[in-house]
Amino acid sequence: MIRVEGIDVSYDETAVLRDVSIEVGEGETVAIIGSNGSGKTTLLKAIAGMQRTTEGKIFYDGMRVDGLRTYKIVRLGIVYVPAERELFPLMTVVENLELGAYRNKAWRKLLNVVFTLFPVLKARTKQLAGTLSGGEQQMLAISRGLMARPKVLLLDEPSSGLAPILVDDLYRQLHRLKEEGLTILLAEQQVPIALSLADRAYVLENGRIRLSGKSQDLLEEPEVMRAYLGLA
Amino acid sequence: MISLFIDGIICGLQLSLLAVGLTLIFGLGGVLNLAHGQLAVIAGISAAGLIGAGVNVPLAALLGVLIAGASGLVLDRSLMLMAYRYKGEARLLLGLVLTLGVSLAIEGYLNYSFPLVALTISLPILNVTLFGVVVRTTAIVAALIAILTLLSLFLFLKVTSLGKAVRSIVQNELGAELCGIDQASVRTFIFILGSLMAGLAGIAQGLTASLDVRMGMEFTIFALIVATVGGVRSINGTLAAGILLGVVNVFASFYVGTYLTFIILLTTAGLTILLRPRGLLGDWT
Repeated sequence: MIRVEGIDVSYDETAVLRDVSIEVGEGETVAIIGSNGSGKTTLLKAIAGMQRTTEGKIFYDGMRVDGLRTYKIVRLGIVYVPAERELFPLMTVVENLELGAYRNKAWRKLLNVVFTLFPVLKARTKQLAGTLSGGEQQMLAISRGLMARPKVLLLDEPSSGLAPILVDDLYRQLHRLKEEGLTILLAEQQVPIALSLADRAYVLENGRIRLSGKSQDLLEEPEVMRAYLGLA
Repeated sequence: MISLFIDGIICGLQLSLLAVGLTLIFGLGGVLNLAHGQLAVIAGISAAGLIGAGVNVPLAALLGVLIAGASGLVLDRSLMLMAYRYKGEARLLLGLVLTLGVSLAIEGYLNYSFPLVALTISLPILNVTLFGVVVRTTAIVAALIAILTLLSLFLFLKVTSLGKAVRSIVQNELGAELCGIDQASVRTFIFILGSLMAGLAGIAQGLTASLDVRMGMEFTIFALIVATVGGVRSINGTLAAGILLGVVNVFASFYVGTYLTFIILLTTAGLTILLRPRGLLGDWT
């Protein structure tokens, strides 16, 4: 569904991604794991059209999407949920969700879908997004992304800033989305939980793909264990 | 005293009408449009020209406002594109220089070609009595135009999907982009809407007093002061600031004299900014 072919990205002459190629099939959940600064976010931003590539190509359903503006990529069905959430702080929860479904007149029908997933939001419909707790804001950000009825969801560090118990809760809901057939590309620093959700994963290191494979195999890979789990 | 106060409110409504477009364009486009006042003049002078050519007053006023809107569209799609290519401060500064140039060019052209044209609209009934005070009908019509326009704007922003998209861009441009909102077309729309409202403010000026070709810069300065006091991204703040400064303006002109009015207005602006640096109503959009 998404195919990234040998892309390079640089910030001010410094290469951030070098010759990165990944593929995400329809209905698949794929994780990109790696330490801080390894280029995970940059890779997602490049796919979402928020980061220019200097080399390589990005395809979505066989159609070239690199160089398209972000809002056009969103309308094609690739929706990026950034780690910073980028909500509308002075608008209510419902207004944020409505804007997620921008140009979709039947947006009200979609509310139930996200409220079943995150019931806590239903109790907060009239509350301003800026006054929500960190966990609730993360749920709202993902929900706003879902309101666009994405074909591919790009999730950047969904666990960031959340208490462990909330992370478990969030991933349980992500499992549900996966079972419903949504294609998910996930960047995550918390490797064990990311691999528990993903079918496959790529390990990014200093802007290059270091390893890739089935989640199960990567969990047994000593190198992954050493680098990210602190185990020998 | 009461009649001064009513005059102040009416003047304030006009100021709000003028300034709210400036606020919207700044909130969305990151550009302070220094040609904003000239759009009011374009509407007024076009209307005056049409009335002179025999068009009836309401139609001439409507056409004048539409001409202001069209001028806004042209400005947004031509010169402003240069500014939109940059972000943040660079865009703001380039926008200031470009719109200042446009403002001077419009003023120069109008001054050269139509030096004597002015818009003064009078109505068949001169005065009505309101709460025991005699008020000019033209002032009431001007106030009604402002109230209805501002109310519609408020409803538009609160209720419609496009209005919510406008607010979302003001609050978080990146977030809006991630919702699939095409910022450039919303920005163009708002530039036109702001220009139409400036046009209406020009017509209202023709109703309450008189509008001539040299008033553009003064309108822009008034709009800037009001927008600053209101917190330059807050629409409600701009409305409140317009009323406040309108009342101050009328009282200052009456008790102190016109020559000191600008200083008093700027002092009021300075004090509000010191006391409420985020604008009269803070972040409330």
